[in-house]
Amino acid sequence: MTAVEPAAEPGVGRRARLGGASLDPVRVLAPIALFVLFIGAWEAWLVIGNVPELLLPAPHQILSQFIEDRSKLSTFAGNTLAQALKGVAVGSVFSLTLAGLVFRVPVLAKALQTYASTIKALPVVALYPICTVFFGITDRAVVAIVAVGITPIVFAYALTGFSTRSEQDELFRSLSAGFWVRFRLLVLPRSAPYLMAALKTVVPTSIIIAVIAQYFGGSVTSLGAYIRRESANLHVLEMWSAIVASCLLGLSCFAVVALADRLVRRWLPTAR
Amino acid sequence: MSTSDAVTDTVRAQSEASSPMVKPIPGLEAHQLTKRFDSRGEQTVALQDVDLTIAQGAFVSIIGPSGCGKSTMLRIFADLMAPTDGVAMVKGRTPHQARRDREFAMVFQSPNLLPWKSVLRNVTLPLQIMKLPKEEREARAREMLALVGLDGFESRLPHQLSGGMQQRVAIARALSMHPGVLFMDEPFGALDEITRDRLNLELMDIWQRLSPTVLFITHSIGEAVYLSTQVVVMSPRPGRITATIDIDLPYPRTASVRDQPRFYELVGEVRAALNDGQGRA
Repeated sequence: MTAVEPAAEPGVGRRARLGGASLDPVRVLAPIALFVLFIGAWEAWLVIGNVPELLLPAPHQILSQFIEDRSKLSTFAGNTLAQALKGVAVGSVFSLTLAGLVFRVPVLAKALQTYASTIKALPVVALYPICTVFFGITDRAVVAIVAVGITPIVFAYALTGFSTRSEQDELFRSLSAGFWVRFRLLVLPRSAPYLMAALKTVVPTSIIIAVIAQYFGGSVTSLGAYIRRESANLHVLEMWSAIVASCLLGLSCFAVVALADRLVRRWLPTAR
Repeated sequence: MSTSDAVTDTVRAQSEASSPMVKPIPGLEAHQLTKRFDSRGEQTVALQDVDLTIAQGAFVSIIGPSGCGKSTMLRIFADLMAPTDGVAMVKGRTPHQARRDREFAMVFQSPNLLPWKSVLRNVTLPLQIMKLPKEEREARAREMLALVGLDGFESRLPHQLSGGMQQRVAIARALSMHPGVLFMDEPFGALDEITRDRLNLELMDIWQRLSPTVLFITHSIGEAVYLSTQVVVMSPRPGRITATIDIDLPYPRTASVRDQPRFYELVGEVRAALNDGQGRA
């Protein structure tokens, strides 16, 4: 038997899947320029408007405070991150299990899909007092509120991903595959883009929820609690440097998940 | 029309591989098969009282214009759809039972591969679902990949292959189950003519070696005549069989068969039957 036509344009698909943002100098330089301009305007406004330091410190002061406090801040950030990620883990396991079980019962899946998208809009941080009733003002309360906060988001993405249909469903039917075999071999990998999208939303959100929850009460050695303490003591520079640390933490989390998303897309290419 | 009489005596001209059959259970059988669809109050009759008997080991193509019910019939046999009326049997079993017993395999119009699994893992998929030991399923998959000319491509991902190669993987996946019956729903419909011709040759070669019963749906007259022991012509509104034409081309069917005068005569016969069916519809 003769073999093999040439493979269709190797690499083209892969590049497209990886996002293909080649290094466009404008796209790299423009945001940097904007940032520099913003900091410059901030500094200039403080000098021109004679704004007291207590109200708004200058960026260079915040930066030097941030560098001075870096080891303390990184410890606090580590604790905040750990609590946020624990919350993400608990919430994800719970919501993925729930979504899997709901998906098993098609009528339930249809009914809950409507709720899942609206429940995402709930202001979860408002539920924090309830968590503290259960767990006291502890780290576990922070983990719990993060888990509660991300559960509807992961659930909605997961259920949408699971409910995606493709021609492979008929293949699995013709192969007489049982529900859980189909779930493991087809449904779960097929919904990988949805699960990664969920993670991209949920991880930065979890940092925000954790910081706010810690602000209202949590372990002393966390970013949120530190921000509250320093602001109460009118240590404006310390407060600002902790805010900078929170921002950096959120951004780097997003960067890590976005990178993971690209890798997953390479490992699990979706159908074209 | 009485198609079943004409069909039952169709035995493959070449019978080297087939073991002596104790009792001749047909590969596929349809009695008064009817399928009606209701959409917005309007009723479409996709199949009307279709009778068909296909001997084990036969290669039967179904040809007809869109809406003649050929895919519907295949989907009923494959238990992807229930008939409104009538009975379909696959090797003496109901389609449901035959699917449970993994008596048949399907090749779809699109290759339907899992894009995140390598070529090898795609071919082992049915065997994984059948819970075969890993070593056996890999051995079988490699054998089938060699059969379709894809040895050396085991670790590629589907998107790294051309359309024709992807469809070969799909065929290897179906064959890996060692199915008694193979349902092929326009498997080469999306391919260019050169690739389709080549895959026809390869499919013929595979069928002559493994001798499954094949139900093959196509829009191409030449493909139907070249591949089949028998061509079933269908026509729409309501979907029904209007002619069955035995293909008496010699075996082994090499590429040169397509140059024989008899090939062109048969192509002419099928075309005339298609036009007849259209005229009466």
